[in-house]
Amino acid sequence: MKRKNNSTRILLGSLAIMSIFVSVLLVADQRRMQAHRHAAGSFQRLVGGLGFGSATDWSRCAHSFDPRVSCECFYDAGPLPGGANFCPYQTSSVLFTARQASLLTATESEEHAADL
Amino acid sequence: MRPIFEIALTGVAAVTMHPLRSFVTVFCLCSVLVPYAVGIAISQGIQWEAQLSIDHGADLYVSGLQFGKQAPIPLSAVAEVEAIEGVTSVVPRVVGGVLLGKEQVSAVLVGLPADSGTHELIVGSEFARRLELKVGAFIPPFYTSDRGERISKVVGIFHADAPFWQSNLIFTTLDAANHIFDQTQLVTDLLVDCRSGYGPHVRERILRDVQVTNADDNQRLRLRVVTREDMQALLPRGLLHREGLFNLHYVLLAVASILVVLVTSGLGLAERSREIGILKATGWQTDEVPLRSFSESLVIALTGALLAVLLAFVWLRFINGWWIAGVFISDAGASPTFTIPYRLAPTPVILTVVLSIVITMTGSLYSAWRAAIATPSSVMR
Repeated sequence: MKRKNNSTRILLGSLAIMSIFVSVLLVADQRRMQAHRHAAGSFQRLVGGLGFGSATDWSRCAHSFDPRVSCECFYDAGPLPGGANFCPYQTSSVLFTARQASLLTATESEEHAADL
Repeated sequence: MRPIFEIALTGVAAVTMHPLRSFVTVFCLCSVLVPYAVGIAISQGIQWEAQLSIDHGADLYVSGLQFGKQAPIPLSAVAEVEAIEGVTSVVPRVVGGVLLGKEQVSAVLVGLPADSGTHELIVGSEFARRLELKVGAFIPPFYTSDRGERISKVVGIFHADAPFWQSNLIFTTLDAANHIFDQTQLVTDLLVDCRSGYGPHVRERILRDVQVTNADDNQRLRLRVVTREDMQALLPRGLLHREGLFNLHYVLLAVASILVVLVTSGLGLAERSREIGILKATGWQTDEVPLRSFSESLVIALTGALLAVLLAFVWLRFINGWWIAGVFISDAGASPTFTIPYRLAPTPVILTVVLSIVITMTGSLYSAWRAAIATPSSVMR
């Protein structure tokens, strides 16, 4: 019985130690993020705000690199159902689709039309 | 209160009574949770980098539009935009793609105004690695221009810890960029900063009043203005869409893992049912059995979640998101050569803990309840 109590204590103690360790690790990670914020901010100020999507290479999908500098996706098979999502360079993380970015253009065209 | 605590402690003791079974259950949990935590952390990291790109970028990005496609804009538009009330600065920028080297390595070339007479380049870490460039290296002419070709000098390499969009970047002056692309008086976009609250007004005035013509045929160009708010609006919509796909796959995996936990924890097995039958035969109440099972599952779930967060940190920090980064960043490949952005707290950690508890509880509580409401004689058969 005493042995069982001991193993329960060891288990709960290990859990507590692991919780503390994870908490410390997360706090350290937050600090790393703060330091990185400074470096990333410097880079973005230098290049005037560049990069937004999941691509690192402009040549294959400029739109997935940054929709501010290119409003079109070369791989957009638009007329096909779901064709806007065929581009392999949008991957499965981030952050916009070709259709969403083309909405920006559509809004501007409507405004032009209204002005005319 | 004390009896409830005592019952909960017996649940904790049940974990240590079957160490191998508990270990296998925690292992199964980790095998599901670790890739999930890593994936969500990378996705959150990219979102965070994108947010910084918006925050430190310009208020408005003005470019030309021709037949619905982006077109360069003449430098003469700078003065017109600067004249609009509320505009504090207008910076012309050139962004374009170039190919270098025997292997035709592609890169994004960015040119911004600066005082420098020579072709000085700052290159991305991945680009420098692939072309074996070092600071001080000279690059022979990689373009043709009516104004002649020049040798370029590498004066800096972006640090691998900078945002991952630097990896294939070449940064230079506006003049050098124009020379490389063999253009004069043309830029790809204007970076416009405005006084606070003037953004919508300036955007409207640019679209309405600024007259820009195509340099080739003197036809009027339409303008495209992307605001900080437009980009801000893309972040959550895209996140729901894309991260949703990742989550959808994980919902299917979570369903499968519930069944795995059901088997490995043994709570669905006859042996555990007999154990519950003995407990009931010795005087345990029906509602006390699920409480014991709850505390047992909670300990397993927390152990699995904490271990998963630790392993996810190791995966992200020390092996740089090996294999899984390629799912989120194209060109990262299985082994990325630049630092993968990640953010573990708070969302990935919270989701990992919640998912761990949901998987374990769903896999154990129902079967424990089924055994608890049966008569001891029937479950001990």
